[in-house]
Amino acid sequence: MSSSEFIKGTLKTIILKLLAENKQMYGYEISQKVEELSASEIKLTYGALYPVLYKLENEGLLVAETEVVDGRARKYYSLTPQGVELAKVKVSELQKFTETLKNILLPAPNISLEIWGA
Amino acid sequence: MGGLNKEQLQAIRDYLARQGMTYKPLQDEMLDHVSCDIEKLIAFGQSFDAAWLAITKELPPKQIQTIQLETMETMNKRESLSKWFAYLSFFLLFAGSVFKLMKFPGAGQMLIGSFIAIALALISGSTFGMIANKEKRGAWLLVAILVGVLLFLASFTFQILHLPGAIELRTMAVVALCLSYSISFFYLRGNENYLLPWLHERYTPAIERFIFILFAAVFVLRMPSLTLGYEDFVSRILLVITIASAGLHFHAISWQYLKAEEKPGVIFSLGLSFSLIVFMLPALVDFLDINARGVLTVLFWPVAGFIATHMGVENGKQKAISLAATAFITAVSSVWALVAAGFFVTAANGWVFNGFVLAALLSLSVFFRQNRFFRMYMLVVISHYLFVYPWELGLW
Repeated sequence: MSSSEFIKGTLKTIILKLLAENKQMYGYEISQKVEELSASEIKLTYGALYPVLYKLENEGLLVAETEVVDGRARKYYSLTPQGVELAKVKVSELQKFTETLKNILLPAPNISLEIWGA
Repeated sequence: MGGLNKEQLQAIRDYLARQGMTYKPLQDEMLDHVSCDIEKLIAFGQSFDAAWLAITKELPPKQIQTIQLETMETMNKRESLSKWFAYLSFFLLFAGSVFKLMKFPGAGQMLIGSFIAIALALISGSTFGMIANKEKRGAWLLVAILVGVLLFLASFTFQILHLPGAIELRTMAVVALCLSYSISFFYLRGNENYLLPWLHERYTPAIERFIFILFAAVFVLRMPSLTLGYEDFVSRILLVITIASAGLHFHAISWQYLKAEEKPGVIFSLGLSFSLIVFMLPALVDFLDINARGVLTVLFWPVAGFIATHMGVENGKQKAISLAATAFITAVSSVWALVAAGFFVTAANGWVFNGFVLAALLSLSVFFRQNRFFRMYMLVVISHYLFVYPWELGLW
């Protein structure tokens, strides 16, 4: 499945949801979690993940803290109160949207002519 | 899962830098992510080299560069106000210089206008940073440093306008900057979530662009006065601005080092404070005579050179070159200070102020162009060298 084009519009919500559930996460951890939860169907590339993380941080939805782990700086992200609120709204919006999509994508009901006795 | 060793981490960092990822916070983050990916493959039995090859093979060409571009674009959208003030300051600075050279009226006002634009860029950038990052600690330190820089710009404005109070303003600026920077070198140690290094990191590409363009322009402006042997007021003013901005930025880069280090030593913080104080004090030209300023300047080069080496030079061969360069720069500065103090005859200046030494200093800055600590140190060195260069000697 070519998931990248579908992911683009929903990645922000996915990151907000994961951080709402996990308190704080770093870049690699987020990409692994997405891969795990999607049974390896969705693999986040570096190029998809980092611009979104910086954008969310820039918008004041995430706050980051850096710690040195194994000799390298690791940046942990967590939601700000504003981010927590937005996560709820965005997840609910995305759920509604996927429901709508499901309805569109389901095969059209086979309206049999039998009901008219044909 | 065993961690990667220093050499392996450096190889990844070098690769990222070569691919165009020069923005340090993003580079650090990518280094961690790529290292985790490699460690995962190593845990499955692959060697470092095989894992590294597998990771790089998966990366489409130019992806690393694109990530940086997209990330910077995202961040810059919200900072357009300070960006426009920075452009305006550049325009006014150079328009003012050209007006001064052509002896047109209004050059002084343009220079002052550029200082006001720099001040507005700093104020708007800092205010945005404080509002958007209320969770980060130490905003008061940012305000203290900002006040110091603004006082410094105000003192230049007062001087150009021949208004009383320029000396007092400069003294207050030097005291404010010495105190606030010195506190920062101790306060920011460790891994806490502070506003000042975070904001400085994200503005670093813009700050360095500003300093490098300023330096290139002032270098070109200074050359006719040195080759033809005449004094030039405009290039001297611009050199002071270059030295001050490059020197303050050089010390500010250490915040990122202090943050990243697990346990930065107290002695290192003391060294940074000492370096900043001996760098700033010579600005008090009205209180310190040339001998005292000479001693302070000569003290600055070895301390700052050692700090730059300690923070940024890992490779043994490069370390030897950076230490030798520091010794050479200290020797050049010592000759200048001893001549100025009257211990050496004026002719001794000819040994150290000539085209060969300038070419050597330029070569060193090219050699260390990839090292953000040492290249900023070299920029201060060359700017100061051009500033104190006895123009009557000529270049050759």
